Amino acid sequence: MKVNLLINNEWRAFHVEAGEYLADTLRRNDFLSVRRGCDTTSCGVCTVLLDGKPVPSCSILTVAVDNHEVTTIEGIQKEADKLSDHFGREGADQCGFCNPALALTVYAMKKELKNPSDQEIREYLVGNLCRCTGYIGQEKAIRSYLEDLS
Amino acid sequence: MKVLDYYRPTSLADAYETLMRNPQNQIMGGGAWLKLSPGEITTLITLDGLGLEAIAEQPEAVLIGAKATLRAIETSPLIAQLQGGLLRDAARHVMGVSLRNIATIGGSIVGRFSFSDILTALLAMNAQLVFHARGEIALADYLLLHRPEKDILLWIKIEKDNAHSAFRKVARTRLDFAILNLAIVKTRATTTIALGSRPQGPVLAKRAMAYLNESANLTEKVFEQAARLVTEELAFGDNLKAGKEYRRHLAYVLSKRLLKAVNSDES
Ligand SMILES: Cc1cc2nc3c(=O)[nH]c(=O)nc-3n(C[C@H](O)[C@H](O)[C@H](O)COP(=O)(O)OP(=O)(O)OC[C@H]3O[C@@H](n4cnc5c(N)ncnc54)[C@H](O)[C@@H]3O)c2cc1C
Repeated sequence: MKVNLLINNEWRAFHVEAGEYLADTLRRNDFLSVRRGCDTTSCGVCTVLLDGKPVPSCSILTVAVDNHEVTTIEGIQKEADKLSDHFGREGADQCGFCNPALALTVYAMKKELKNPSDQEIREYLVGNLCRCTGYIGQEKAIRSYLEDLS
Repeated sequence: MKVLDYYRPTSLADAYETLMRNPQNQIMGGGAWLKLSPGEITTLITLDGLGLEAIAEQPEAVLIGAKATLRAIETSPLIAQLQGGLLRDAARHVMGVSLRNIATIGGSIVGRFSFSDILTALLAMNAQLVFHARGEIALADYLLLHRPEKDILLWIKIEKDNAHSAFRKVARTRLDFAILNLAIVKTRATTTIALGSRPQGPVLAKRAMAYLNESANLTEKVFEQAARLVTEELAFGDNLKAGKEYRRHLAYVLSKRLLKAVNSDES
């Protein structure tokens, strides 16, 4: 089946099987920042933005998002760089496997919630697991990123 | 799950006709649970573009389209007002935002998951379901059907009762299924109590409800007795998450606590 996706502001056409998942389509086409993890929507590392909202690309059929907008970390490079500075400063990353998905989720949260409380930030990020950091550094980094108006 | 073909119908009649054409054809909600299911689907039918994402207000009720995502429900001002915001509170407890951005209320109902937080809340809210072929049926009756016939769930209808409500889910982590979930709705005239993930599916605690609804004064003693009735009338079981004695104890403590909450201004 032919599917058109607006990926990172560029229209792309793909030929996919009906049962192919978005994470596989993206990875097959070199969007390798989209990770494969649990493959059951539980870990969050496959998160991409679909029409601006974080979704688990491991569980969305590519045919179901025909003519929709998909954003991977490459599509928000400037914001990702900024966020990564804050992460670095707080010692909030280690292996980096979950970072693209986390950055996309934080970016979506920033657009969706106005002045989120610490509790709201935690709630929003519940589905993004990180096995290295223990989350405290991440929370601090995200807070300072949200307050950074530069 | 293996999907051989994917179909975008032009109307509900088209969707239903396609569904009935082959026992291996299925409707897709968000597809999150289908992904985990074994077997092969000949044609997966999307309900996109048929207007079923809406959450709409009627004079006496709120109508929720079967394709509304759990996140849309969680963030809807109409749902926040509905029976003390119970459905919003339950939706918030399902995994993370990204799953809730795809999982639908329709999939949550037709899936009839015994652990479902959504079903427990909807049962306490006395939700009515509107199917394409079957028409309207109370969720409570739908859950009693052994193997419901294939159909398309279109709408969920919930009365706009002026109610206090409370929901609790006990789970080992935020991403886990419930060890037990409990929802209580209190209107001026009645109290409704639903428990799920016992680990069997959600049910109403009818004896406890009758006792509360017949009690002239709702005192601490009455709440204790009602909580005891909950533990006596409902079955609890063991699974990997917890044993039945722990569940029974939780049911007692949470029933009492939530009854107090809905009868004060806390809820
Ligand atoms: C990893 C994981 C963890 C979860 N944890 C929880 C939890 O803690 N608490 C909780 O309450 N829920 C939980 N859920 C369930 C989730 O909330 C949804 O209920 C579930 O994903 C089904 O919704 P869906 O839209 O994905 O449905 P799908 O997977 O698309 O469909 C599920 C079933 O419903 C049928 N169906 C869907 N829509 C319709 C319709 N309109 N008419 C007729 N049939 C239909 C499908 O054919 C299929 O049989 C979890 C799900 C996953 C994947």
